This record gives sequence, structure tokens and C-alpha cells, in this order.
Amino acid sequence: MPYTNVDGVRLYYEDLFSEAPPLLLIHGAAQDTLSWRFNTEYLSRAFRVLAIDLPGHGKSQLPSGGAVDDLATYAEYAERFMSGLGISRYLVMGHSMAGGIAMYLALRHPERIVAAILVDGACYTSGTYGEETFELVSINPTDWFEVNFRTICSPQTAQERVEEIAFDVRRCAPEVAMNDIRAYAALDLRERTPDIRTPVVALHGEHDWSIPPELGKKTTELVAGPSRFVPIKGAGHFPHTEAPESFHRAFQEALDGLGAELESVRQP
Amino acid sequence: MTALNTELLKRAEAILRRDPIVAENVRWHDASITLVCDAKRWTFEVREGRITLEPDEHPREQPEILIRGRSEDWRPLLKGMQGGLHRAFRHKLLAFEGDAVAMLTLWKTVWRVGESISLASKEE
Repeated sequence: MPYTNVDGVRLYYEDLFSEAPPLLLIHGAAQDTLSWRFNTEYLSRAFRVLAIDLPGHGKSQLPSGGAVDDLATYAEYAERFMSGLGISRYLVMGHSMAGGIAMYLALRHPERIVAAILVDGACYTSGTYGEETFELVSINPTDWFEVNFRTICSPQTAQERVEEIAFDVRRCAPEVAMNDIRAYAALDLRERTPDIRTPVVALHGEHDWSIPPELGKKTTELVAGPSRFVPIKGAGHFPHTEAPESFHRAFQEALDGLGAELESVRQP
Repeated sequence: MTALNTELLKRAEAILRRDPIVAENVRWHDASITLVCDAKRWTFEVREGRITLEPDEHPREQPEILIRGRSEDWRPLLKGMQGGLHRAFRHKLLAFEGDAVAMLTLWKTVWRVGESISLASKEE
């Protein structure tokens, strides 16, 4: 699988190349492309699926200035990655904090984004992080994040799958995980979201207490363009990994619901 | 009657002692995890790779982690609140005080203390 250089940073990506409409997948905090391991085959039936490791994550290089700590910068890396491949219009699907990245892309590059799909993401946070939390978590971000991942899965998710999700965070450098929390905690696009005319879809695990479903629903209500909110039963914060089949049904339902707005997008 | 009591915490101790996540996490680190519920206190001592419920005594010889709340603050945990003590920290449902380095070093054990209390409560 290939690498590309964006602003001097070597980024790892996966490209399930086809002539279908491009769909960019962006992982959540402290994760990498592997977080889509149960989804890319399904999605590639209808899309040219591209997935990136954000700077400092997975196999991507850490920027010389250190770990990125704001979502707007991540969004610009993603956009330059896609333009560097010569892709002019694409759908973007972001999980968790990358839902915020997808919102930045829809705001800043509306002419290029066909639809923004948020997986347990929103245009703002639940406001549970403060400076004292950052101070404490910075002592041991890896363990804190691992416990976080374990506890925000649905109680109905098989333990084996929870273990797999928990292991994801151990591949991430602590300072990168820490700055992802900072980046996510600063997200608040509520005032600018009504400017978004790009279709926005929110797919949300009903048992997610970290980014509660109400935040995803509220985000779809704020956008000016067409939108869909689809809750996913029996899933927590990682519906695409915890319950892939339910997630794929919700994905299809959401795209069907947008109908005419996405008529150029084929059915999986 | 306080939400926490010695009988409940004794059962939680038994659960903690067979928990593989705790066994791994307490292997190299010593600290006291003191739970405060209303005016009462209990302490889980983490020492030499073991976790033991002991009478609360002062002053402590090792770093102390304090988790404090009223009975009504502890009750959601006893009822099996998803996310347990980790959620209680994030949502500030209980106060987490004391030695910050010890707390984050033993964060997995702190979380499992909450899970064990929840399980012990179900046994009741």
C-alpha cells in the first residue's frame, strides 16, 4: 500500500481503486486505518474507498512540529491528500473526532465534498474535558485511552471485539493520543454549521455515552442542507467495528434517505 | 445507610483479586485507593503486586488516590452505570483527588475497582 507526501509529511493511505465515486475514510482519535477493517470491503462495492492514517497515526509520519492538536489542520491534510491524488469531488466519512474533521471539510471546501458522513461524531463536544483533565490524562494517555475505549463500547458488544478495539490505542504514541483529545475538546462549530449546504449524515451508536446520540442528531438539525440521522441499535462509540452489519445497513439507509441529493452515488 | 459498606467492598475485593487486568496493572506500582462515601472511608491497598481492603488509617505511607462522593453520587455505579468510574471521572460525578501520578499509573485498577463494586452489588 502506498505513501504520499503532504506538506512534507509522509502519509500512509489505502486505496481500493475503482471508477466508482471516491469515499475518504478518516479514523478517530488514537486510531488508524485499521479501524475500518470490517467496512472497506463492503464500502468498496459502491465506492472507490480511500483511507488515511492522519499525521502521527499508524504508519504516517509525525510532523516535524510535533503532534497535531487541532481538527482544522487535520482537515487540511486530508484535503491536500485528496487534491494531490487529483480527486476533485468526494464523500468523506469520519469517525468520532474525525466527524469534526468532516465538518471542517464541508465548511471550507463545499465545492469538493459530495457528502459528510459522521460516525458517532458531531459539530461540537459534550464539554466534559477541561484543562485539569488534560493535566491528569497527560501523565498516562495510553492507559487512560484504553480504559476509555473499553468503556464506551456497548455492553452488548462481544468481549473479543472490545479487546480488539482496546488494542488499537496501544499502537498510538501517547503524545499523539493526548493531542487528539485536545483537538477534539476544542471542537465547537455550532455557529458555523448552519452555513453547511452539503448533505450531512450522522450514524450513531445508541449506547455511546462519550459522544451521545443527541449531539449527532443536533448536528443534522443545524445544517442548512439535506441531512439524515440514523441511530444504530446495540452499538456504542464504534458502531462500524462493534456491529459492522448493523452499521452497513444504517449507512445504506442514510444514503437511500438522501436520494436525489446523492443520485450520482451508486448502491452497494 | 451509606451506598458503600464493608460487606460490599469485601466482595469487591474478592472480584479484584481474580481480575487479570488488575493483576497486570498492580504488579509494579504501590498506592492506596481510598473511597469516601458520605463521612465513611475504606482503602484498597495496592502493595507488592496485591490488592487488599484494609482499615482506613492515617497517615498513609504510600501515595494516596481519593475518590469521594455522597451516597447518591455512588449509587449509579452500584446500579451498573455504563462506563463506571471512568465515566464518573469524565462526567465529574465523583471527585478524584490525591496523587495524580499514582492515579493515572493505576487508572486501569481504579476503573476495575468501580466494576468490581458494581458486580458485588449485583451479587447482593
